[in-house]
This record gives sequence, structure tokens and C-alpha cells, in this order.
Amino acid sequence: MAIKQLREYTVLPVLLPGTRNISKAWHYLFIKKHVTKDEAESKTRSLFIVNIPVGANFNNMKRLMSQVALGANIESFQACEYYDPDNVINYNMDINLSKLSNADFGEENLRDNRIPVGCGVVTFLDRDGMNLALSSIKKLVMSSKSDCKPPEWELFTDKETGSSRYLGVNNRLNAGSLSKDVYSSMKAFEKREHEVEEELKQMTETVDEDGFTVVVGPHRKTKSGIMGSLKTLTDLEHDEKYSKKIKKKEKKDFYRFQIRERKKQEVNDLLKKFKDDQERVRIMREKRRFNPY
Amino acid sequence: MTHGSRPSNNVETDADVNEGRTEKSQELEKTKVSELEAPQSVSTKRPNAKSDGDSHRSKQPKLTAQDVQVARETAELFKSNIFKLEIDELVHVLKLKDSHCKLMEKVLHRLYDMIQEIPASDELSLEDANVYFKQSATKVSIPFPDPKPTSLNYKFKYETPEDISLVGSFGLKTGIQQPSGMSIDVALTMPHELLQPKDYMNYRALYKRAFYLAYVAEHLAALSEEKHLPIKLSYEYADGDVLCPVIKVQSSPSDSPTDKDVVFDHTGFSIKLYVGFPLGIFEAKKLLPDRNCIRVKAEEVDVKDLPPTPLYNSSILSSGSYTCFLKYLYTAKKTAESFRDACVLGKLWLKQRGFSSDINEGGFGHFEFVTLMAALLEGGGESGNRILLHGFSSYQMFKATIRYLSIQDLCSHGHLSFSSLLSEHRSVYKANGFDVPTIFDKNTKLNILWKMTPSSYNMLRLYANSTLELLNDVVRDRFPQTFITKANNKVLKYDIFIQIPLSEINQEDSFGPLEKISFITFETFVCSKIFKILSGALRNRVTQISVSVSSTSSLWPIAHRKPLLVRNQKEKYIDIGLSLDPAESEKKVTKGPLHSQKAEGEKFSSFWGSRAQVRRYKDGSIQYSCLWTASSESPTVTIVKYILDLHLTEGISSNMIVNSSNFNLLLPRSLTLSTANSHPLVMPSHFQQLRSSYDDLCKIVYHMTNLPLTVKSILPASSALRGMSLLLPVPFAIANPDFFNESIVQFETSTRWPDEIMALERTKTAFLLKINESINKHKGYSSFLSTDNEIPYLKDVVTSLEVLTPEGYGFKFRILTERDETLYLRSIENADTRQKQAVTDCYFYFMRKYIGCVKHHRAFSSLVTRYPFFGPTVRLFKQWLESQLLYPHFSEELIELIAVKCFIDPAPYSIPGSVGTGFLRILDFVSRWNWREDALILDLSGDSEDPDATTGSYIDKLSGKLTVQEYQGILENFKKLRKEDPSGTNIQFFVASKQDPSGKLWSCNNLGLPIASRLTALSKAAIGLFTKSVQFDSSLIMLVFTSALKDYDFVIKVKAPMNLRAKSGVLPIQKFKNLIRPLTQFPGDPSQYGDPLQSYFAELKARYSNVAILSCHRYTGLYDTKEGCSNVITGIFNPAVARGEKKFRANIGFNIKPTEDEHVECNRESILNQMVCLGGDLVVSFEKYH
Repeated sequence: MAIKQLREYTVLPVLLPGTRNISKAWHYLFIKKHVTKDEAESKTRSLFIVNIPVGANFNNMKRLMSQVALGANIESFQACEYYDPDNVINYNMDINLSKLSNADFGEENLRDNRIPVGCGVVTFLDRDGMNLALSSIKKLVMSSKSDCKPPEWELFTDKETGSSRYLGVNNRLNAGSLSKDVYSSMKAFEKREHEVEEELKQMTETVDEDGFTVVVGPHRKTKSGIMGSLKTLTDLEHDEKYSKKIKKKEKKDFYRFQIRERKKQEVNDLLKKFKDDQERVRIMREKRRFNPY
Repeated sequence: MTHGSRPSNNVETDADVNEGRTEKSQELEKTKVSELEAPQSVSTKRPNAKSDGDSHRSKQPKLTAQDVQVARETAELFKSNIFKLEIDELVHVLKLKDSHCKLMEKVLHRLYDMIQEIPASDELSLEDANVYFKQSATKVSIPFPDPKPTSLNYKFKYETPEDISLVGSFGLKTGIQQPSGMSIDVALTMPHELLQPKDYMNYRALYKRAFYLAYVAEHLAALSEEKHLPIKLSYEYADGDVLCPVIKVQSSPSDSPTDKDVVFDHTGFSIKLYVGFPLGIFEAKKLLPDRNCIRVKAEEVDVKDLPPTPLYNSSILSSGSYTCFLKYLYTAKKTAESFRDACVLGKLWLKQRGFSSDINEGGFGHFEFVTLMAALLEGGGESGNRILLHGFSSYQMFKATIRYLSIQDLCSHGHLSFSSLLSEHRSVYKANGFDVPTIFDKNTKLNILWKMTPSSYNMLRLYANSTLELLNDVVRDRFPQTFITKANNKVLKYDIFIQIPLSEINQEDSFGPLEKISFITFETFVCSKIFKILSGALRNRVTQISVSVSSTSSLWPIAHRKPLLVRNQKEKYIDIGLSLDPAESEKKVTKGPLHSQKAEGEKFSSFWGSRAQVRRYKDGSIQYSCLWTASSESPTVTIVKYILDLHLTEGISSNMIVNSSNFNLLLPRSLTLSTANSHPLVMPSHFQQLRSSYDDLCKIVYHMTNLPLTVKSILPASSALRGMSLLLPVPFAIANPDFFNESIVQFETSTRWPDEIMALERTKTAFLLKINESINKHKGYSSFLSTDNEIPYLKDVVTSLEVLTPEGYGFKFRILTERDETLYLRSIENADTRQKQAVTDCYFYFMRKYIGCVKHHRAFSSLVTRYPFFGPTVRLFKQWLESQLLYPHFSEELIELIAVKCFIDPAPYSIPGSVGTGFLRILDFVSRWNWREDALILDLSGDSEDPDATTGSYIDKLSGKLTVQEYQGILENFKKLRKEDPSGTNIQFFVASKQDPSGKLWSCNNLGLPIASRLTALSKAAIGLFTKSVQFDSSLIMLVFTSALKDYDFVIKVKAPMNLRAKSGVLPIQKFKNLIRPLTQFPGDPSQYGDPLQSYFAELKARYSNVAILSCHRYTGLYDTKEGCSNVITGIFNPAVARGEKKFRANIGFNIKPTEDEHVECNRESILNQMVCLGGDLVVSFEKYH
């Protein structure tokens, strides 16, 4: 017997249509009420669906709802599909390269409140519609009778697959609209940049309680630039250039003990290398690297 | 052996061998060793010296001091510590088992007793002897050499041998383990009384010896049971010398063994009984190589004019000198401590390269090597100065001998003369050569290299040269290439390998009596004739010609006089191996003497027959020449076929089996033909046309005036622009996935680039828009911007400019600024620990697409010109990967880096001189590359030709060779990487060069453990097939170039709605050439661009690459046939995802179904259904295998 409820989710099996090459298959949707911080359970008019099929959109969602719950009208459908050609994107976290590359005037991430990958949110016109849909889905799932027709999910219309989908895929951009785009976003960038400069200017002008002002060089552009330039002493010790400078001043072969120490060091190094090599050969022997046949 | 007695301190090592750090370091040694103990006792740093008890303290320093000395000694006497340790280990591994040796000694004693018991025979005439053996219980034939005697006026007799001694490596204790079994050589010396001084003539001694041998065999067979030594006897030719049969004794345990029986078959040993002549019985002078000792009656030839019989003479001389050389070598071994180990190294070195004392295997084996070393211990220099010193280490001895072989010409310009007489310690290099390889022993008057030919000598020298180069390499450890790697496979060894069935060569007529006495066998005669013809015809096209007879099984039963004729003579082949000079071998013209030189001209035209013609060249000279037409096979092969047809046997070329040509046919053929004056294989004109179109475009971009900054550089980064793309670039071939050739544009330095990544990209876009505008104004050019999705998290922001040129090519430009890298690095710095990995990946993508690819292109475009066959070989390797559905998993750069290994670091082979050989060596390398434990470190400056020029540090810097420090740094990187990830789950192939010391730029993120393992497995299978079968017919090659679809979990067969073959620029499969129409213009409809199947594959990969590993042919055009499918998409489910139950999470990331116990599992059916559904009408069929 198939499972019908998984934690707070209702499991709705839908039938994917077959093609001439592959038979029909069951697909499982996990459905619950959509609850967010802003929208309490009592107020929501959306359902949260886990494991949406590929290419799920408003139309095929609507078609599904019309099969299971006539009269529940949906207003919108949002989804986040897994799509990662390089296999490097981590959907569990947001990465905003713009902000990372420049904390001061990077672009804010515009999309927030993101839907988890592979999930979708159906919003109904009203709460009643949502409730109707959910209850009829539950009813459908719970009914043990096998005579009722399982809902079907139509993945694509013909126009969305095959040659019509893939012929002539290209990334060409329209030069005109692209230049407009670039223009507007560069304007926005300049504005942000300007704001930061203003802030910096303000800093130089304000006198703090003790009567100090921040000194800013003519090439400084950002606040974090100033903060970043203050190196602590520990940083300095790690700085190669600095330590080289210090070391250059020392004379290395002045005292006898220095020469002695150096020689000892040399012999020890030699010995260490020898031991390392012995170890290496031992490992190679274990791997039978010396068998010439 | 204490270390004090080691002669290392009192002998000043020779400058030739020593790395040049003797005196100083010895001085240092004294001070250091003495000082070492002092600080040890007062040392507070060493915890164990202080805290532990007295016993430990007294033990520790002593041990260390000794260790220090060993360590120091090895650094001086050997190349490095590790090398010495490796040699020690190798010598140890090769050592014969003591228990086996003991057993064999017992066997030898019994054998000795048995021989002593053999009774003397009466004097028998030839007829009596025949009757005697016929009557005996064991069927024994007398192994008379050809011609078999019919009536003789002298008698045969057996008497107990004058001397029985152990000769060869077992006696010298230099024997090594061999998979084919070891043999112990025992020499019986015939008593003086049985021979007369004149017996050296006309086979007399040989016939007497044959009787002697048969008599021994007959009695040994009879005595074996009685003496409890069950043995099997057979005849064999000593080192392939048909004049000198020996008895081979093998253990053959009886069915009902008794306790007394000595059985030694498990040891792998066999014993060879040689019968030798007493030293000095024949006057050695008369047996010098230029003397005739076989008098035959030939028409119109006077006795005085009979040709010399060097093989016969040397065979008799060498049979008379077994014990003499035994003494000589034994003394040498006793005087030099490391002699034995050096012998072992030499023996192995020769063996790995297929050399042995056998005439058919080069004629230079253990005996020759050891004798050479012994001679070099006593001199060998031009003034008799010693080449080897007695205090040398084994490594130094080996290296000095190799060096001697490499630099001294012992064939045409000089020879080495030594004396095996113990009292005379003198050997000199004399500057007159005999045109045969010569190391002459003044004592026995034997040339110990008599079994070598000039061709095998040349081969040996080539090996010595390359090994010397390896031993001089101070950067990396070359031990495995020197000793461990086997370089003996005919298929891999030569650039062109040709086989001719011996039975097809109808040369018996010309093998007259005179040839018979100077060449002894028909095979030698034919080989020598072919060699002469070929070296006259090929001249500087080849660096090495080797002609030999294949597979002569030498053993035959004692009941027969000589080896049984193989019923099917076709099994015997003449093997011709050619090593080519890539700069010469592909030339289509063979130039001869000037027209004015009449005599030479006549010679030329009589040699070349109808092909010879007189041609006028551009520089005005008129020369005799031959012109060869271009075809899929190399002109060198064409010449070989033609000239052997002409001079050897007519029509022989149709029976020739040539391996390399079949590989050339595998390269994709392009829609348009290469122009006549370029070479279609090495550098097709397609690449030059592309290049010139690119140069024109660059000129336009450089001269743009409407840009705020001027263009500083345009750097190409495209495999087609460096002549290495799988498909040849064909104009207007828009379905070729590589149609757009990428390059990177850089502007003059500016401080005004935005300090934020998105804004920077948008500024770049603004620049591209400007360029776009002005390119579109140029007639014939059109361009457009497109999104560039190369860098994750920056999709839809980055743009690139694509340009179509009037010549019909496409180019793609990206912009690189000096700000980019800083911004990426800053992002990594700012990212928190969770984000760091993903941001670092972004940086890697950026490095690849903007900086790494340019460096790679620069390095490889120079390599392509340096190694003419590199380009086509890489293309063939790509074709193989493509056919095996592996191509999409590798970046092109990674493929090229792996392939270049066999060109810049070819040891133990030489640089490949043909496509087939290059390809096989790449496969061979990949199959043996243990990437979990070994890094691939490449020196892309790769100028190995002139080692002397790069010794100065100044030039080192100029030529950009990999230095020791850099090499060590890269090794450190690799160690670190494997420490974190020992099984290689993240990074499989570590491929580093000076350009990329991190080693993972090209191999991270797109490979994966299963694909890496599959590459290894497939290459192993392929190379196994190729090396086993010497003849590559098309079905075998097809097998290697076809992928096994059943290995995958599921296969989606797909077909594009249009034929992509012609549109990718690939020659359609059609019978009528006049129906092929070249493409002439770009279609206006952008939907015609690209390959829909690739887009389909890309979407599947984007959606499902976490669930399954998907593979596909990248170049659909190559697989497009009229009927059926044109491409396949295959998949293997990722077991980590697709198997087992998982806990339910909303963002689990893949398609799931519920299980009974409130968990979820991967819903494969639904995934497959959706995959196929996406494909719609492109899908032809779907198959699930597992």
C-alpha cells in the first residue's frame, strides 16, 4: 500500500503520460499549506508543493487542479527548478558575487524569499479555493477505491519539446535593449558609488568627541578600504616582505656557534631527506613498483 | 662490508660521470661527521637523546653517523639518494632465489657426474655414426648445420670433455629473475685430440661438434633415469646462430617420482650445454672477419675471390673462447666491487628494450654488455685512458657505459680494441671503423659484436642517447623510465611497422652458394637485402630502420636434425620497423643529384626505375627527383612499397601489412579539400585559412578608433586556431559545436574600471557594444552580442561578442581587464566558510576561460609546430574519446595536456613520428597512469633536443624550462591535494605545468571518478587489443572506436530533424563526389545555427547531472547517417543519489517518491519519463539496460 501522508505533507500521485518511446510513470507531489513568516496558516491562500515535475508552470498546474478540485481557481504559480549545467551551484545558499567583490557598493540581492529547489507555490484566488483543493486532494488520496481515475499531469505541449524546443537555441541579445539595460544599471551603480563617496566625505568632515577626524588619502574610495589597510602587528609578522627586511639585517656567519649551527642543520637536513627517501622507497616497494615485468 | 673499505674516498671519480662535487664535499664530510657527534651529546633539542637511558644514547649517535655517511655517499656516488635506494631495491628484487640456486647447484653436480660417465666412442665414419644413432634406444639425430654432409673423409669420435665450466651470467652470479625463465650456460670443451688445426675450414669442426653434441645427448637421455635426474632434452641454436646448436636441459618430472629424483621445473631454470673448441687450436688469424673459410665451387669465381665469411668465422671463434671470456669477466668482477650490480642493471636495461645476444634480437645482450664494461675498466679512451674506475658505484658504472655507447661510434668511425688476456690490461678506442659494429678482442681475434648489424647498433645507440638524457635529468626521478618501463613492443616502438610474409618473397634464386656462405641463412640474406634497399631509398626520412624475422621458435626435439619447418610458412614474417624523422618523412619529393652529374644521375634513375624524372625547381636548379602522390598513407610508406616492388619481389606490396595508414583514415574528413600545396595530414590548409581570416578580423579590431581605450592585445584561445580541433574548420559549417573560435581582448591599462564585479562586466558589455557597432559597419562582417554562461552566479550578466567573417568563419571575443582577478580573489576573501568553495569554483571558471586558456594556447601553438605529428595525433585521440562518449567530460585543454606527454616526455621511446604510433603511445600512457598516486607534471617548454645549451642558468630562464624548485613545488601541491582527498573523489587527474602549478585548473569539476576510471579501463582494453594483435585490420580498429552502449544504465537514441553532417563541415557518406556541394553562405535564420541534440543534452545535463552521469557524442555530424539514429545520450545513475532511502527534505534536489517507512527514494521512472518527454520528436528510441 502506498503511503499517503509524509509528515505534514499529503502525497499526491499523478500519472505522467507516456510517449511512443517510454511508458507512463507515476510521479509524486508532496503538498501542504504554504506558511511563511509573513503569512500565518490561518491567512494563507497558497499551497506548497514539493517535487514538481520538469517544466511545471501555471498552465499545467491549472489543468491538474481542474482534475482534482473543480472550482478552485488559481491565481499564480511560482517554482524553482533544479538547473545547474556546471554542477557547482549550491541551492542551499545564496551567493552574491557582486556584494562579495565589493561590500560597499555591490548590488543587493533582489530575489529574496526564495522557493527551495524543486518546489513550487500555488496561490489560489481565495482561501476557500485553497481549502477546497487541499481537502479534495486529501479525499482523493485517502479513498482506497481504485476505481477513481488518477489525476494526470501533462508535462508539455508538443510545441515545448523536441525540435521546437531545441532548434536554434542561442543566446543572442538585442543590441539596442542591451545597451539600455547596461546604461540603467550603470547609472544605478554610479549612484551607489556616489553615495559611498559621500559617506566617506562626511567621515572626513565629522570631528569626533576627542576632536579627531579621520584622514583619508586622495585615492581612497571606500570605507572598508580604510579599515582594511590597518594592519595589526600579527599581520605584519606574517608579511613576507617585512620579515625579509628584518632578516636581511642579521649577519649569519659572524659567531662560531652560528656556523656550527648551520652545519648541524645541513647534516640534519641531509639525514632527514635520506630518511624521507627511504620511506618513499618503502612505500613504493609495498606497491610493487620495482617489478620490471 | 664496512663503509670504510669502500673505495669511494681514495678514488677521484672521473669527471665524465661525476656530477662535479667531489673535493669540496669530501672536505666538508670530515668536518661534518666529526661535528655531528659533538652537538649530539650536548644537544637539548633532541628529546630522546636526553631523556632516554644510556643504552639508547650510545646507540643513537652511532647509527646516525653511519646513516649520515651512507646518505652523503649516495648523494655523491649516485645521482641522488632516492635513485640509489631504488637501484638497491631493484637489484634486490631481481636477485635469484637462494633456494633455487642451491637446488640448481645440486642439479649441476649430478649433470657433471653424468657427463663424466659418458664412455668414449670408437672412431666412426659418417655412415657408422648414422647407423650408431639409428640403433640407439633414444631417437637422436646429429644436428648437422646446413649443408648436411653426405660423405666425409674424416672420422667422428667422442672423448670426455677436456673441461666443463659454468659460463654466462649464472657463473658470474649476475643472473636475474626473468618471467620467461633463467638459463644456466655450461660449456663442454672438446678434447684437443678430436680436432685438427685445419678443421676450421669447410664446416669440418662444426660437423665434428654436431656429432659430439648428439653423442652427449644420447647418453644423457639414457643416464637420466639411473642418476635420478629426470630431464627433457632438446636442441636449440645458441643465440640464434644456426651454426652452433646446443642442448637445452629442462626438468621433466616423471609420473611416478621417487624421493631421489631431483626436480627443478618449479624454479624456471633450464640448462644449456654448449660444446666449445679448445682455445688456440685454430689459427685465429685465418678466421678474421675478412677471410673466407668456406670454399665453394662457384662458376667463374676463383678461390681467391670468394667472399669473406664473417658470420661463420666468428661463430667458430666464439665457440673456442667460452672459458677464456669466463676468466676475463670473472677477474673484472673480482676487481670492481660494484661490477656485479652494474651488470644486473645493464642486463635489465637491455631486456626492457628488447635487446639480447640473440642475432634476431639485436645481438647485444648481457655477455656483450659485461665484456664492454670489463674492457672499459682497463681503458677504452682514445689514449687508452680508463672509462670506468674500479671504485665506481654501480650507478656510475652503468651510466658511464651507457655514455660510452652513446658518444663513441663503434661502427663507421672507430672501434674498441681490447684483449681478454689477463696479463694485458689495455683497451683503446681506435679511430678507424669497419662499417660494422666492432669491439675487437686481440687475444681471440673475435669481434664480440659480430652478431650485431649496423641497424641494430644504430638502435642501441639511440636508446643509449635517450637513457643518457634521462640520467642527466636533475629535475625529476627518471628511475622508472630507465629500468621499469618496458619499451619492447613492436607496435609501440616504431613509427611505421610493416610485415611481409616470408613465403611471399621469391628470392630463393638469388640466394646462391656465395650468398649462402656469407649470410648462412636465407632470413639473414633477405633482411640484409631489404635493409640495403630501404636505407638507399629512404635516406634521411628515417632515423632508424630495423629489419628482422618475427617469432622464430628456437627449440626443437633431439630426434630431428634442425627445427621443424612450420607447416604454414606464412607464420614467419619479415618485420620492418621504421623510426621517422618527422621533418622529412612527409615530403612528397625525393631529390637526387643535379642534372649535370651524369654518373650519379644514371645511378639514381636505375635505382628508382620509372619514377625517376628530372625536375626544375624554383631556385633554378635542375635535379633528378621522384615525386610521390599524396594519399592517406605517408609518402614514406609509398616509397617502401614502390621500391620493394621494384627491387625485391614484384607485387610484394599487396602482401604487405602496414599498420599506421589505417589510423590516418580515422580522422574526420572535411567537406572541402585541402589545397594542393599543404600537407593534408600534418597541417591541412583549413587551419591556415581560418588563421588568415582571424588575422584580418584582428586587424579591424586593433584599428578601431571609436573606443575610449585602445586594444592592447587579442589573444587566441581556440583549438582550431592552434590546429588541434577534431573537426577541420570549414567555412559556413555552423552546426560544428566549435564553430566560434574564442579569443580574449585586452585594453590598455586603466585605473577607471569599476571596483565591483557586476558593474565591471556591464562596462565590458558596453565596450563590446561599441566594437559590435563598428564591426557591423565593415562589409561582409556581421556580429552580435550574446550571453556568456561560463561563470556560475554571473549568468546573464557576462556577455561576449560573436563575429561572422565574410570568409565564413565565426569568432568570439571576451574582454579581460586587470581588475577581474582582483575582484574574484576579493570575493573569495570576503566569502564565509560555507560560501568559500562555491566562490573558489567561480574563480576557477574565470581562470580557465580568461587566463588559463590563453596561456595554454600560447604554449601549445608552439608545440604544434615543433612536433609535426602532434596536431593530428591529438585529433585522433580526441576522436577516440569522442567515439567512446568521453569527450564531453573533458575540457579540450585537459585532453591536449594528457596527449602532449608522449611528445615532450617520450621516454623510453623517442618522439612519435606517425599518427598511429603517437595515438597508441598516448593510450599506453593513459592505461598505465596511476592518477591516484602519480601527478602528471609537464614541461611545456619541452626543448629536449639540445641538453648542452640549457645548462646555463641564464638560458634556463629564457627557455622557461621547469626548474627543480618549481617541480618540487608542484609535487608538494599534489601531495597536499592527495592528503585531503586520497582516493581522488574531487580531483582525479592532477595535470600541472609551469603555466598551472595548481594542477587542477583543467580537471576540477567536470570529470568525476567514474569517468576517470572508465578512461583508464577503456585505454587498457584498447592497448591490450592492439599490442596483442600485430596486424590492425579495420574491424579491430572499429572495435576500439565503438562504444559499448550496454555498459550504461539507459540509452536515449536521438536524431536531429536535419542532416548535420554537411553542416558541420564533415564529408557526407556519398558515392558521387560531384554531388557534394560546399557551403557558401550563412543562413539568415538563427535557428539554423548549432545542433539541437546538443541543446537537448545540455538541458538534460543541467537538470539531471546530480542524479546520473550523462554522456553524448559532442560532434553529431560525425555520426549522422541517413537512417536510424545519429547520436545517443547515455546515462549511469549516481549510486549515492539513486540508491537507498533518504530522509525527506523539501529541497532534496531530485525527483523522489515516498517509501513505506516515511522516507523517500529516487523516482527513476519519473525522471526517465521526463527526460524522454523533453526530447519529444528528437528521440528515436529509449533503452534501459540495468
